[in-house]
Amino acid sequence: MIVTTEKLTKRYGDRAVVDEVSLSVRRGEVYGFLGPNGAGKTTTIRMLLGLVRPTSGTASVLGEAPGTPRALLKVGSLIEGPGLYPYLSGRDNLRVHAHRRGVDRTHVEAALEQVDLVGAAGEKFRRYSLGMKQRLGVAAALLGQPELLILDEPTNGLDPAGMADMRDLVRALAAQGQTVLLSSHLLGEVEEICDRVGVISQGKLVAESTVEQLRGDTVLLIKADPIEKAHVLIEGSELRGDVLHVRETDPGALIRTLVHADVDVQEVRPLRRTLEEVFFEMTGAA
Amino acid sequence: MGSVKAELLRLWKWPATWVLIGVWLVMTLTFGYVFNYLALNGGTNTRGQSQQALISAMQPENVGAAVVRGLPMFGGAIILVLAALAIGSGYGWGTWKTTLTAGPRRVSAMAGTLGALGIIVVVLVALTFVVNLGASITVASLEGWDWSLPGTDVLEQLGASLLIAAMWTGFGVFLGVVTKGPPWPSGSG
Repeated sequence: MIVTTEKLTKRYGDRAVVDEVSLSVRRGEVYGFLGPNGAGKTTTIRMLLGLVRPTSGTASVLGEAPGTPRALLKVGSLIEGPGLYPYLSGRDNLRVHAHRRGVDRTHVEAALEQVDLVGAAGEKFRRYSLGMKQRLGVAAALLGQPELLILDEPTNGLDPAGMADMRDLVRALAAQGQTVLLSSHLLGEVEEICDRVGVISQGKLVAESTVEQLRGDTVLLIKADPIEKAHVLIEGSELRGDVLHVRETDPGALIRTLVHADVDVQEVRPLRRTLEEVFFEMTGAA
Repeated sequence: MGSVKAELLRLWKWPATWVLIGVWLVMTLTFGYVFNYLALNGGTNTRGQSQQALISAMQPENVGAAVVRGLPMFGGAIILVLAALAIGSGYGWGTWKTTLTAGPRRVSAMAGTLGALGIIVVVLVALTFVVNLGASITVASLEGWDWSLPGTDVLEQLGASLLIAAMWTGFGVFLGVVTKGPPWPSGSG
């Protein structure tokens, strides 16, 4: 495990912003930290980086206590947007960051290449588009080849093209074996990129598993005439209005059964809960 | 050491650093030499100084005293603003967050900023000395005075200047940290 937390809690007064969260991130995976705005994602991440002290509970980042120089040097992070100097060029911003991380300046060019910003590296940061700023923030996080990359809402405020670029970048990093902890409230993003997901709602971790497990089994939707006869023929089917829902692993056999019984099969298709539906169920968000 | 290098790089390339140093150099020339020179040559001597005092103030051998004289007031305000901006703007830009997640301890990060500001202040005092020396030699040459370069006591005066500048730097850093932003300390500067 690269990150583990045990009943990690942060309270402000009586309000628990993060409430006994126990999560784990494995080496080499892209872990999606999913939750509505204000659910406690950023506070959890801030605790993992030592920016906020937990009220109770423990956390371990790469075997170190969060926020210690030894831990931070193995972690690259982009929290709530890139905090870089507007008057410096992209390259100079990375050089400043490289000095802080004790990294050789050759890493700067490598990081710029990774995020495809070599051509714009001489421009002032304030002249960058939002997407370029986010990518430079990722480049800063990548300096020193960290074992863990923590990205907090990296697509926030980006246009669709910028979001797609960022997703491609995270996918490319994951393909290189980079462990990524990605927090987001964008379900499609998490569904597309992440291997495992932790869902947080009102400070509590309500689920942690693979995306597939979260979405559950596939259900077959069957539209047939007469539907009542089909309902009787298919054991365990559930009649929902004028369609049937069936948990069936062999659709071929099912269709043959109906056809042999003179039932007119009009439509058979897999019906799968989207991550969005699962998320809304778990978080009560709408 | 990495923190000092990082802070020095970003302060060195910050236009605000050079604008403030430039403003200070113009002020020190204006109040230390231009006004005195005009007063000496028939202008209004609003401060009622004797001719001898005006000449003495502009003599190259007294440059050290001229540097010290300017720092408690105008120079101090400029240095306070520079230090407050250097610290306070990091809260607005979110660069403190980036710094603190990069690896150095909080104490090291702050020490890096203080170290870099210290170097900038040394440069500021050195530039002030050089510009004042150039101005005093120019005035002395124009007026045809006998003049000599400052003696070794100038080192003591420059040391005093650095201490005064360090005090204002510390005050600016304090205000920047307490107010977590540049506007209030800059206004007070």
